[in-house]
This record gives sequence, C-alpha cells and structure tokens, in this order.
Amino acid sequence: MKVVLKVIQLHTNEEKTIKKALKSDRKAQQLLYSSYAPKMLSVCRYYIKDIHFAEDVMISGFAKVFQNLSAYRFEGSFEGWIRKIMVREAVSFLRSKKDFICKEAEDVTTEIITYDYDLTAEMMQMLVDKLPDGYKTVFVMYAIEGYAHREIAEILQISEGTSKSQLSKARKLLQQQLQLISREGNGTI
Amino acid sequence: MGLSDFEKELKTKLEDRTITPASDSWDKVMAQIEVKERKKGVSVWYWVAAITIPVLVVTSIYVKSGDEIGTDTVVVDDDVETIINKTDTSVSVTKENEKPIVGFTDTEEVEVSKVADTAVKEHSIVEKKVLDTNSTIAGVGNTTNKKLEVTKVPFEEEVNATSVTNVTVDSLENRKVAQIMNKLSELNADGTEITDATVDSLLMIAQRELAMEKKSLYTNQFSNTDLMAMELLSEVENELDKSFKDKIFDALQDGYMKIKSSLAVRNP
Repeated sequence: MKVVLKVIQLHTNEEKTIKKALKSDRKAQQLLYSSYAPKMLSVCRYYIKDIHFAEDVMISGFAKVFQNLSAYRFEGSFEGWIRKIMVREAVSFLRSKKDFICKEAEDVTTEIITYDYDLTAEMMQMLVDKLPDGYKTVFVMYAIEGYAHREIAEILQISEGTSKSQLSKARKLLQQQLQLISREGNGTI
Repeated sequence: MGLSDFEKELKTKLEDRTITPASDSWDKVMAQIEVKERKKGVSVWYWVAAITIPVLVVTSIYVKSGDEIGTDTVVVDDDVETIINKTDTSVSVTKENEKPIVGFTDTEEVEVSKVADTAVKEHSIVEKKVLDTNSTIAGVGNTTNKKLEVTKVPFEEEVNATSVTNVTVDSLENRKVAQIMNKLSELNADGTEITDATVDSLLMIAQRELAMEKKSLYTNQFSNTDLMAMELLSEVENELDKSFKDKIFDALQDGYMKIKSSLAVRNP
C-alpha cells in the first residue's frame, strides 16, 4: 500500500513538474532532464555506437521534448513519450549517415539465438554494436523496444518484409558471434 | 517469432542500464531551446511585420487617394458639369423644337444663381474653372478676368443672345422658303416648266444666301474675339442641319401640288 501511494505521489509530482516545464520554467525542465537523461542516453546508445554522438542525439532529443511538451496529453507514461522521441531522433541520425542501408526483403528464416554464457550489459551491447546499422536498428527496435514490424517499417520507411528479413539476419549474425565466443571458451569478446 | 532467452536477457540488462551524460549536457540542451525559442520569436515578429507592413502601405495609399478624391475640385466638377448640361439642354431644346426660347425660366435662373453662389464659397481655382467653362460654352470672352459675382448676369445674357440668334435664324429660313415659293409661283405663272434641276438650283442658291446671311448675323452680334469660333460653329451647324433642306422640299411639294391642282380645276 505504501509503495502504491509513493508511486501515486511521484506521478502527481511529475505532472506538476511537467506543467511548470510547459511554462518554460527552467528549473522544472532541468529536473525532468536530470530524471530521464541517464536512461535516455542509454536508449540512444542502443542504436549509436559512439557515446559522444549518442549524447548529441540525446541532447537534441531533449530540446525537442521541451519544445513540444504541449503535445504531451498526460496519457500514458511520460518516460514512454520521451523514449519515442529519442528513438526517432536516433533513427534520424542513423538515416542521415550514408552507410545506413536496409536491403530489400529476402527469404526470412527463423533464427533462434542459443547461448549459455553470463554476459554483462556492456558485453551484450558490444555484440549488438558489431551488427551493421540496418540490422542493429531493426533488432533493437524489435527485441528491446518492443516495436512491431509494421511500426518499424513505418518509422524506417521500409516494407514489413524488409524489417522481418533484417531481424532474421541480425539474429543470424548474433548467433555466429555467440558461437565464436563459445569456441574461444572464456566468454570474452 | 518470439524472443529468445538471449533477447529477453539483453532487454532486461540494457533497460536497467543508465549512462550519466556529461556535466555540461544540460547547458547544451538549454542553448538549443533558447536558439529555437529566439527563432520562433523572430518568426512570429516576421509574420506580424509581413502582415502589418502591407496593411499600413495599402491604408496610407487609400487615405492619400481618399484625400485627393475628397478635395473641392470634385464637388466643383459636378457643378461645372451641371452648368454645361443646363446650357446644352437649353441650346438643344431650341434646335430640336425649332421654337425660340428666350433665356431660362425663373426656376432655372434661381438654380444657376445658387450654383454660382456656392461656387463663390469654394476654392479660387474652382472659380476660375466655372468662369472658364462659361466663357468657352457661351463664347462670351469678357467673363474670364472678372469676379464670379459678375458672371451671373453675362451668363444670362449669353443664353438670351443665343436664343435671339436662333429666333433670327429661324425667321431667315422662313423668309427664304417664302422667297423660293414666290419664285416658283412666278415661274409657274410664266408657263415655264419646273424641273428637278430648277428646284435644285434654287435650293442651292437659297442655301448659299442663307449661310452668308447667318454669317453676317453672327458677325454683327458677337465681338471680334469670338468671331472665328462662332463662324466655325455656324459652318458645322450648316453642314449638320438638314432640316432647312427638308423644309424647303416639303414646302415646294405642297406648293407645287396646290398650283397644279388649281390649274387643273381652272382648265379642265
């Protein structure tokens, strides 16, 4: 009961802070930024290997958050709303790069990644970083962010089939890397 | 295609992860917000200016043109037109009805004097315009350098003079008709055959004489300064005026038929 009350109080406080931030209250904006920036930098880092670029993307994402704060209707979590902006900003950054290519749909094979190592978050992130940008983006959006292929296709402006094939190839590559680690035997990358 | 254990663990571990941004990252966010707010502010002012400036320009042009339209000149133009119309009407009525009209009626005189009085109160340029118009229309040149108060009397005199001239011209025409009729009666009495050529020649002579008489009439009536103008006017009138010829033809036809029938009755 105490936990529920605490959550409600936190939610009420957040709503007040958002309303203040809406009136361009810099302190309220900074408070919101401090609360969500570490999480959002991690989200940007899923997609962008370079931490500095990831931070730049996060900064411009937060600038958009505060500029478009009036679009937030207090429906659903505020974190989810910010997260969507960050993902779109990261995708936009990747799309601006020349090497972001999503090949057209090919035969989709079901790849199941099997592994029996205890990998840290950073090690897992490094495995994902080794994927080409097109594969990585679809994989992260699907596996971590929980987007459906239809949504991924819409955001990346590709077909659903392409999204599925990209995911399949990403999984295949990840499996190969995990097998390589397994052969080396000590779980180091 | 569901998530494998690897993907589930990846999701859990990465979602729990947080990365602390650089200490100056908030300043960078602030800077971006302020730049965009400034741009927004500028763009708002840009739109305000873009709307306001053309509105002001159009309004100023409209006001200026309104001032020009609203000057005394326009009002006086109307008056001038009224005067012109009045003069034209009197002259044209005289021509169309072939009846002598001596001056305006009392009401018209009052109206003319009212217009003149109003004009006196208007701008000095206006006075000149009215005076000029009067002098041009009526052909009386001695009003241009006089005050408007004086204009009223000459204007009536002009109209009267025009009417008198018309009456005289009318009587001249009637006299000519009578002369031709007499000549034809004489020729008929002499037993001379009256052909179309005879009638045409008589008409030609009569018309020439009439033109000369009209010219001399105008010369006697108006001063030398307006002579040229009136001469030109009378020439044009002669060219345009077909009524005299028609009248002669009608009179000749009637007279000839009467004579013929009387002769036929006398000599059955």
